[in-house]
Amino acid sequence: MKLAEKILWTCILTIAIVFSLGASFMITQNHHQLLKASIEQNRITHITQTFSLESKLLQDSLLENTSFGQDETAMSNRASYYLSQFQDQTKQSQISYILLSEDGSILLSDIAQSDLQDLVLTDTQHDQRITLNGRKVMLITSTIKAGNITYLLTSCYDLTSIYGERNRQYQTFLIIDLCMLLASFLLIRFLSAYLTKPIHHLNEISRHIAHGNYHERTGIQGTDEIGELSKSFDEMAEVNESTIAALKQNLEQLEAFMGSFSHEIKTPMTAIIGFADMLRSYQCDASTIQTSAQFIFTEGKRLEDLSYRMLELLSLSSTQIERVPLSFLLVIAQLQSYYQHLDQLVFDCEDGIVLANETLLFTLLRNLIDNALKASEGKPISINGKVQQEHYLVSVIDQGIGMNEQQVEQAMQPFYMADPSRKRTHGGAGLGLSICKKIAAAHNSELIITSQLQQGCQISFQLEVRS
Amino acid sequence: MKKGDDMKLLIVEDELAISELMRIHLTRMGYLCDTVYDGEAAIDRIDQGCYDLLLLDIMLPKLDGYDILSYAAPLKIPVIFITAKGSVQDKVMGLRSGADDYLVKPFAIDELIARVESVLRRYHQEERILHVLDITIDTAARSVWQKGLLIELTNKEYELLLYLIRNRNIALYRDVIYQKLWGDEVEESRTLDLHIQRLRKKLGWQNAIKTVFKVGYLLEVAHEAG
Repeated sequence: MKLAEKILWTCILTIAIVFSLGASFMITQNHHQLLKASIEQNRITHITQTFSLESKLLQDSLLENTSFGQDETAMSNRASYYLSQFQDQTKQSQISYILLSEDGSILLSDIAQSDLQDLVLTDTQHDQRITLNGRKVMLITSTIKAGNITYLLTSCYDLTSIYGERNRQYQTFLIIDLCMLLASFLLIRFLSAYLTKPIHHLNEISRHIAHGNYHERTGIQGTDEIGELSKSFDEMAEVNESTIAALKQNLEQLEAFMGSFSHEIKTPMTAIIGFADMLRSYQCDASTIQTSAQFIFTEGKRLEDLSYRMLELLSLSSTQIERVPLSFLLVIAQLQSYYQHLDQLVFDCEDGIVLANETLLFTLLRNLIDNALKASEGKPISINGKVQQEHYLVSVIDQGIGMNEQQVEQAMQPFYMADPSRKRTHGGAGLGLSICKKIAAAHNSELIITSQLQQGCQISFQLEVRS
Repeated sequence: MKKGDDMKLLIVEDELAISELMRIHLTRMGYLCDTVYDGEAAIDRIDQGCYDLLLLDIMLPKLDGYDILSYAAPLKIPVIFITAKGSVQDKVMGLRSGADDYLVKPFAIDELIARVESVLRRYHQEERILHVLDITIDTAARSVWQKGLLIELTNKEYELLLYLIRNRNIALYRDVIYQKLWGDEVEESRTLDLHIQRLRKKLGWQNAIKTVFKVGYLLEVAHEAG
């Protein structure tokens, strides 16, 4: 069952129960009060009438025509007369009288004898409320002393109308209740639909997002529970969208990497397999054998170099690099020795103690210098090192072909080579700078590349110092 | 003996190893091969020479494969792209631009040869018929004629015959022959020898198909002029 319906039926049910209970209570209370008042009234009337009758009969018992109270029949007649007078006076036809002799036998009665059979009419201490002929009545009995004769007078008061009134009230209430419930039903139905509308909206947006429209939001304002839920939902959708975008980007980068990598492998493999297949298929002449072997060798070396660099790249990602304080000039000395046959390189470095990993720092500088050598077309390359306030700044500067803005941006992506046809005349697969980037990162630094086409290129990075 | 005679191919590939690989094989097949290493040189050569087929790499310095293709289109020279760009998109683009075939690196050299022959066959009807020694082979119908009579050969015998003809005058290693034609790694019993025997018998080529000691077999064809 839907929430709106739940709200509706719950409210209706609550209203119905509460009102019914309240009204029942009220009506019953009302009824009891009325009854009580009526009973009191009847008692008073009865007492009044009893006294009146008593005094009248007393007077009569002093008169002669009743044989001074001895003539019972006459006395009864007088009593009957007085009683009918009472009835006229009060104009309440609900009062019926029963006159009994002291021993309980009925002398006069407005009520048929047959109906009185089971009743006890001599109890002067207690009122009785009984049902007589389908009517609710009240019986009060008192003793009347008229001279020597003692009578019992039972007044029978009809209370049916009070009960009738109660039933009428119940009926009225029932009709009003139904009308009210109907009105409430309509009103609450409308209200609950209105209040649950934001939930529908939320549901719809959820489904849109599930279908891939990650940018959608609910946009529900409001401070109630639904508003809060919407706000949290929108925040979640925000995080969702940016995470997916980041993952997509990662995936694209990974795919690009894998694409380049497999391309780098395919070409040497084609050559190696092609030449090897030729050698094993048939006898070749000496020069062909030599050529084939040569190519197999060089392409094989290329693959070897590639795999070493790949390993380097991967291991830089996973292991923790240890850095120790060392003299920068120590590494410079190693480089000078490595490149001793070249006079293109100009080393201009101040001494300083830097926090670095010796092997990696050497690799980093060697890669940068190799790149510069490939690009610089024979012009001099300078390697500078300067002590600065907080850091040691290293720069490798060449005056070669340079790169434009776009190339600079792409330069550190794995396998990227600025020359679009991936010229392999100088060897290498474009992994050098990615490795440098990782080494720099391991030293808490990053590579800054500045370059302009045809004017050369400068790559700098900082090292932490220990004074 | 028209087997690739006078067919001039231009190989445009900047990777020296691949270029040499193709050149050596295609030359062995009897084609005349020129090699260039960038787009501009390719255009110059196409202008100067008269080529029957172009083998183009796509990613080249100076001009890329597509540029060369559009330059060569009006000359109606068939083109085969040879490239590492192997996605479906790339292939479709290559073929739609007008290439006659598209070969993705890494490729088996056998496949290259087969495709070259296929493209040339389409362009030159004469290629269909091979004349070797005293037989004529209709490669489209896969039928072999000798002195006006049809020689019945099984599939494998036919393929073995073609293989010998393609590599004529070259000593071929027996297990490689077996592998290329039958596909299994290790030769079963003496299948190859049996087939050679049958070929010799059916064609009367006991002297033409020579056994090479410690190597395998060789089809000897008298040196062609030119």
